[in-house]
Amino acid sequence: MRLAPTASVVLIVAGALAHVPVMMVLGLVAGIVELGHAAWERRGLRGVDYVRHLDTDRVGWGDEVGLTIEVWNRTGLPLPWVRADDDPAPGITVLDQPLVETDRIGDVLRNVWTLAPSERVFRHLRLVTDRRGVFTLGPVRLSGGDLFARPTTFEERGGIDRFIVRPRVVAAPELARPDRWGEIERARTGLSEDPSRFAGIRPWVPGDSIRRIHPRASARLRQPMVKRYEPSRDREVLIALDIQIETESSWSSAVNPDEVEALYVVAASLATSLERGHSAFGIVAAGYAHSTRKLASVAISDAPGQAGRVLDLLARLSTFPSASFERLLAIVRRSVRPGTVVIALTCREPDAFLRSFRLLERAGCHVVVLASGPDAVANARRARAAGFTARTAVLDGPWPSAGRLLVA
Amino acid sequence: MNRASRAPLLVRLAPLGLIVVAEAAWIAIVGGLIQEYSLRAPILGVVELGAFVLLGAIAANVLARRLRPGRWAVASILIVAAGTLAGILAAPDARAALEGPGGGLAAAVARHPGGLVAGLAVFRGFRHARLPLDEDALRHLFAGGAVVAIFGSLAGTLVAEPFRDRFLSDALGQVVLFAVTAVLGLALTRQLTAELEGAERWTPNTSWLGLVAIVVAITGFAVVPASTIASPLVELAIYLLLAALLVVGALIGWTRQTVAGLIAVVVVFVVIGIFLSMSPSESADPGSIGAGGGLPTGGDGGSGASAASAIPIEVVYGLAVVLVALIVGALAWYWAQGRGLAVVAPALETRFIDRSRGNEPSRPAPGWLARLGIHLSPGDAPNAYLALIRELAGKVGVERDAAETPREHAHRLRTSGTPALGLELLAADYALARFAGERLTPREHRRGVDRWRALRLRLSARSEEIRATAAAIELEKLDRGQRFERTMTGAAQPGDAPPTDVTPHG
Repeated sequence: MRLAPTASVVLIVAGALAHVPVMMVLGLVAGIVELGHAAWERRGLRGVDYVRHLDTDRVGWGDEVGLTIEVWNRTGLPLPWVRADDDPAPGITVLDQPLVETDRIGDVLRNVWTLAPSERVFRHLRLVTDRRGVFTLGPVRLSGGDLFARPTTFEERGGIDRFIVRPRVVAAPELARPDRWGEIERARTGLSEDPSRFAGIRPWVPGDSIRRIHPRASARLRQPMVKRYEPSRDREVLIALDIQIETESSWSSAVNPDEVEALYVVAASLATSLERGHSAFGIVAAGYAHSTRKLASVAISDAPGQAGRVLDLLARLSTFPSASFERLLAIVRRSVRPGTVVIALTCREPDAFLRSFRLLERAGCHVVVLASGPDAVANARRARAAGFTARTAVLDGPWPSAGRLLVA
Repeated sequence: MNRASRAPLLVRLAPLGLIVVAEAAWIAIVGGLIQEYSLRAPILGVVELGAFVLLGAIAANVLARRLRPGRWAVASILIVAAGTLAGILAAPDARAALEGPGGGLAAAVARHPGGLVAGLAVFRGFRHARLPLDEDALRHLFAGGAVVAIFGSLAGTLVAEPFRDRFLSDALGQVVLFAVTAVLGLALTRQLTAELEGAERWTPNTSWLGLVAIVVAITGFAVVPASTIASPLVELAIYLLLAALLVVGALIGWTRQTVAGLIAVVVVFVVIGIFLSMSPSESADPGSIGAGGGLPTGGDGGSGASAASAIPIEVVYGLAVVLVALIVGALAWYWAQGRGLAVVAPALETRFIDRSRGNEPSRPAPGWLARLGIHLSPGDAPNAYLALIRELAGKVGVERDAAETPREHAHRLRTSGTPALGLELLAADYALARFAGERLTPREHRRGVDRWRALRLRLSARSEEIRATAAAIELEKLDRGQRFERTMTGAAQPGDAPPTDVTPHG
């Protein structure tokens, strides 16, 4: 039995029996307040629609996500206030609107409206995140006020919205890949042209070989023309990402998250650079990507949007490894085609992986060790000493503010 | 930093005005009661006390921010003392007693004891110094003011006429004023507080404001006549109920609990009777109780002084005044503490009235007959379909699944043992009216209702068949299970070693 309605009835009855009009008056006023409360409790929030609209479901780190919250009072009752507490994932910040700390569920995105009957409101907010990842918004807890603005009902609605924040991408130079016969990509120089694939003719210029002159075309056009062939070079590149930063333990809690994020920025920048160079590329990493699989990978492809798929994977990827890098390289050896360039992107000393690299080379792959992190130079030197192609890939500053990726 | 409401100043000040009136109203009841007990007419009304409350609020708003907390506590005591003095001297008799020969503050208080509540009014004003008002403070005001009004009115009935009638009539008006202003002020404050919470631009919700103002105004005007009318009716109803309970109790027999309940009711009525009998009905001699008195003037030589009194009365009064001053200072200091709130910028938003729900077909709420399970015959084909679906709910095998469309549901039933096209036709009628917005002819409606009449019986029977079949299958499964269990348990004998797969391994 609720206290307030009982008290109003008691006041009315006691006032009538004791002939005290003041008690009757207070009882009647309390009764009217309770009647209003009951009516709004029954119909108030049930007729309120609450919908979130995200402008996009994936953005790059540092970009804003537009959030439009729609609330619609479909009832004929005016609502003095409707409060919506959305549960945001950690790391989400709402611009110009601080999150409100609550006892039950921690920080919430709180919005309050006052709604006339049938009033529909669209509120526009902007979200940013402090890191890459998959971020959720919801569920929402709705509460509303009655006729006298007293809190009435509380309702939790389940919808959850998700968006992906991809790692930051900085300007990166195109990785110089060795030219090779027989592939379909254009070579950096003309040395590796494939004479079996005729590409057209062009006017002769001094320095062109006489053996390349196209006699019939020259006769027809009355000037010397030389034949052009499709050049070729390595086509398939696989980035093997070593998530583990520390050498000692793969489950170390002392990992500096900024170092991991920097590694992801390097990988994302590299992927974008490869797409710009029209390469067929993919990525593989021993980490969890919001699934139960221990291996996260994007198959090698040169289809449009490949860089986006790689960036999505990097956004989802955990900051801790699910298996050792050696195991990952073993899986790579069994799955990639011979001739694939495997870029081993790691922050660790390569000594432990040299055997795996050799096995990969023996399987027909070309291994490029890309050393990153604070010891990149020393690690690259070790890899070169072991006979592998090795480069350093470091950012020119902390990952949130770096401007470019330096590859040497 | 305090958050500033984006509402216009007038809107922000409206709750303060209402709450000042509410505070003044309940304090006026207290003042009137004190005056009644000293057999004097009240001097300070709601308006005068409202001025004192407002003075307290303004003083706290201005001084509490400029003075250090300790100094503000001392200043608050002085302000309350000044307010009390001003309230006492508001009566001409009190001023005359103060200036007259042999007079003093005690004599002035004796002439106008109700003026003491002016200090209380100033003190209560301190509580409402900040905008927006504190919702908790207003809730406490409503509850506390109601309690004071009730007990004040009860106490007021114990004094002789004509003071009693005057006090009760004044108190009734003040209670109505208190209730109306407190409820409205609290509602406005809650709305303004909510506005500050969540980036709400100030949006005048005129429909809500108008509705609540009309409800409160009607309540204010109607509550007194309603109480007059309702009082004898409630009284009559209670007595009739009591008599009915006695009769019912005699019929069904008395138990220990019912006897205890009866005794409790009798005790309540006896208490009420005693209370009513205490109210004097005739006029009292004004001089018999309070003439010249009201407050004892001292313990040394006064006629009322007791020879056995060990503590002088001045010490008692002094201690009481010091205690009150300490409480005033402590609460004033506490109330002046800032409430740290963050600044929230107003969000960008678009508002409009969207009545597109009016395009949806009206779905009336089920009436009381429907809640009792009694369904009248539907008037048209769409309602016939809805009625049929409602009746089929919970019936095994024929119930419409939540994920099924009307057509899928009808098709499933037709192809699974109910070879009739009626439900599909009825579902088609419903789909035409509900989703295509087509208007059905009266003949189609009639046929739809006829189909409902036939299908409800047929499908109910089909559901019973399915239920019986399912029960038989379950029985058969159970029988098989028991046989299987008998077979398994028969193989193992007491004392046998447990199977290896359940042997604990070290």
